[in-house]
Amino acid sequence: MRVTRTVAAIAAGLSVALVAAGCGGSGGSGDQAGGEQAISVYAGEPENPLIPANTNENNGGKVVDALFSQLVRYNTDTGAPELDVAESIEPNADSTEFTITIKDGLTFHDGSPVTAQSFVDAWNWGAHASNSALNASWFDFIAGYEEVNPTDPDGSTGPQEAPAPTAEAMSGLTVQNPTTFTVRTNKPYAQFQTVVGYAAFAPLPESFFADPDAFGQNPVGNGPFRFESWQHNQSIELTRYDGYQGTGRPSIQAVTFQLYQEDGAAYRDVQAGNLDFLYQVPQSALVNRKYTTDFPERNANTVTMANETMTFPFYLEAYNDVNTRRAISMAIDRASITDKVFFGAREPATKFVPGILPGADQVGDCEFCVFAPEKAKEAWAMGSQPATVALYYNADASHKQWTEAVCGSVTNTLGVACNAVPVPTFAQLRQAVNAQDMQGMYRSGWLADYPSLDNFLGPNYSSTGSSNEGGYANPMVDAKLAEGSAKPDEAAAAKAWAEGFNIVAQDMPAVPLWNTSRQAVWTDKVTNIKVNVRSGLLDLSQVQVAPEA
Amino acid sequence: MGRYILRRLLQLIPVFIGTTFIIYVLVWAVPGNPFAGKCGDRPCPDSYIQQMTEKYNLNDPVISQYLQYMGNLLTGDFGENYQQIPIAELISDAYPVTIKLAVMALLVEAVIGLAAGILTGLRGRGFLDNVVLVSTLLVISLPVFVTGFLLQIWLGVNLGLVSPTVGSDAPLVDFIVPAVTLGALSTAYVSRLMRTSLRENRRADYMRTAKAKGLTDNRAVGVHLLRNSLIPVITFLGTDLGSLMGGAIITEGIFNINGIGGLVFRSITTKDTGTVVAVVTLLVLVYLLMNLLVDVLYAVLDPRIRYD
Repeated sequence: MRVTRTVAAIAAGLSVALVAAGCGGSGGSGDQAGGEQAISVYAGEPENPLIPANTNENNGGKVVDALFSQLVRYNTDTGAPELDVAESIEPNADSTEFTITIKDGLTFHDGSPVTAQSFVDAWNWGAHASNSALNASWFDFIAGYEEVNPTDPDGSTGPQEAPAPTAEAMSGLTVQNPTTFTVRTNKPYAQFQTVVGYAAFAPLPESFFADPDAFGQNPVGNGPFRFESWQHNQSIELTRYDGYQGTGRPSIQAVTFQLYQEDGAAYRDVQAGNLDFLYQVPQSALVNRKYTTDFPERNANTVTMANETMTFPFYLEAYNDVNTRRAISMAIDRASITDKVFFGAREPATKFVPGILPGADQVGDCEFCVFAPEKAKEAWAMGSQPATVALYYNADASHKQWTEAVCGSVTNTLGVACNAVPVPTFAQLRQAVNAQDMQGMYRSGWLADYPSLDNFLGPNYSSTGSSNEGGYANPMVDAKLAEGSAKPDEAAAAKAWAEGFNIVAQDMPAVPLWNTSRQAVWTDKVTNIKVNVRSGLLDLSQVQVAPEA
Repeated sequence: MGRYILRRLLQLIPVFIGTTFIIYVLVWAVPGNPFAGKCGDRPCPDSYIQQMTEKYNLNDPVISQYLQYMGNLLTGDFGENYQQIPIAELISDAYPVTIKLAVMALLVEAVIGLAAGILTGLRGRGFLDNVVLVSTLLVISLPVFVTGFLLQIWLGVNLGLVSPTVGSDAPLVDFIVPAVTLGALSTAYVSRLMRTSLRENRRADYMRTAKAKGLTDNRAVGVHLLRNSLIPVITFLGTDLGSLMGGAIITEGIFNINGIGGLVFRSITTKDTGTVVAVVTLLVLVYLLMNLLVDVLYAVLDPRIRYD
């Protein structure tokens, strides 16, 4: 049987050779630009082309954040707004007109100057209906918005189409000179100086307007990093822009956003040293706080301006009763769930806003957010007492455990059957929510787009709020919202908005569950890690490459 | 043989049309609006939804959408996905990676599986035979993600021998661990198939005749026995390559490989009919051609098989 032995020997030899070759080639599958002063950071493939007015999700947001600088930036440690590109923003007496002066001599990555016109043209482009920008509604407070983006009379699902725009540009935006422009609003808007730090308000160079589609694949910004390349589903490379004159010049020379399909692989890459920073560890690493033992001294738990809630659909009779809603909220043992399911990675909510949001100290504690089984039973007895309650969540993210825990808590306290029902994808859940077609409570949440109370109050709890699909409407809340926006300064405005929240806390249109925090880990290659409390993202201007030991 | 091949190629056409149409309708029927989830926790602006719906013809009846899409496809225009990335670019990035992975997995399973099968098939019962049987049983009972995670964590993280993830431009050696993961199950099947096939044919009439004629053991086994025993194995390997080319979602997810499996899965969950149908078109073609190749190979291996 010599033939077979030879065959076997050859096969064995080949296998050994393959394995040996495999042992030889290890590590570092992605070469980073810039050599030693380059770091790699976790990201997912952006949902849309990299245009600021078209970016409102996390992955594109990371890149746009590094590429563009706004009039105002949000401080990494406190989240408070600070002037960045703007030299000054002067409001008039009733916050209906703002004069903005920008710093002189700032440039885009292609060398063209950043002028007042860059802002005005960019905002007009984002607002105009024909450009179908995702962030168009952010400009709706500017006078003239209705002419460039008329609303569809019966909503997007109705048969009628929105009328065509009647103007090319918003009348409220006027350029006075290359470094000054004025913004006239269609209602008092005290929060303007905070709102304008959101990514949608970025300036755009002239090269953008020539070809927006090409720009989306090859953006030119005015931020501390410039775009180098984007290999879809693989990586996005940025290098430091040496002509940057704004605050916070980065010390690293390049950053590569490695695009992952799922965060488990990214976590193992950080363990092996292939990825330098992961801004949120996967659920599996939260169990027993495993990430702290895998990365001693190289992990951080940062509280951010985000919370998770459950929203009640007011169009269902069962939830239209305030006592039922209060009862359900008081029946949830938040402390126990954050301890057992999240292992301390969440903080039970005591108010409708996260504690670190500017102005949150003026908001009163929510009395029905405290776990109180006796009071819950009393309130339940006074309410509509539906036979079952349901909590809907999207199954394509890790929500199963906590929704089942919440439902269990409700059943244990009130005795009513509670079902945690999964919906296959987030898109399906959103579609049913938008169509007001839900059969029960649903998981919701909010991350501060800008650090102000009205960002949580307006979209979620005002009767015309863009994210208020539950159908909650209380004219007193709307009045408080408008009252705050009409105040001359943000401190006074915060007081009015806080009062609005106190009204909301009595009505309980949603149940605040917990405030979210981010658990980040990194390798020993990087140091001086600061996570921005508003966005949860790594502050790329402050991170440094550790000196060789 | 020529007529047979021609007939098979012609049969491709109705299969192609039927499959692509069914897949298109199935993805179209998945509930949910592809643009509803694009804006996080707030509804997307009406102007955006309207323009996107018009751009991708989503208001037309499904037949009309399908015909428009196939018309474009046949002229080479693959269109864009809902993230406005050209689909041709997505496929040309992902497919070579999947091919690399598939070929390596096939090599692993062919080499190791055949070697183990031949060794145990010829030698008869013994220690080696039991070792192979037990180890294949073990491999078959482990789900692929268990194998994948174990190898990734043990070799990649703990021992640091290989990189835990494999980028598209990674050297070929980085693909070995994913290939082993992917091919592990098939290796077990191949070795058992080979072993059984050899055992069965050892006692066949033609082997007795060959020995009686005076052929040496080497020639009898090497030329006659192996060739005949390979037929079931070749069938298996051929269909396996076809399905490997179709992408390995789980393995790609574990090792973060940017291949076709992940692409199709993501496109289905985002209801991206364009990408799904484009990829499925390619896969159907590949699979049918692989089948044809395997059938032709039969005739080469076994002269008794005739196709007219």
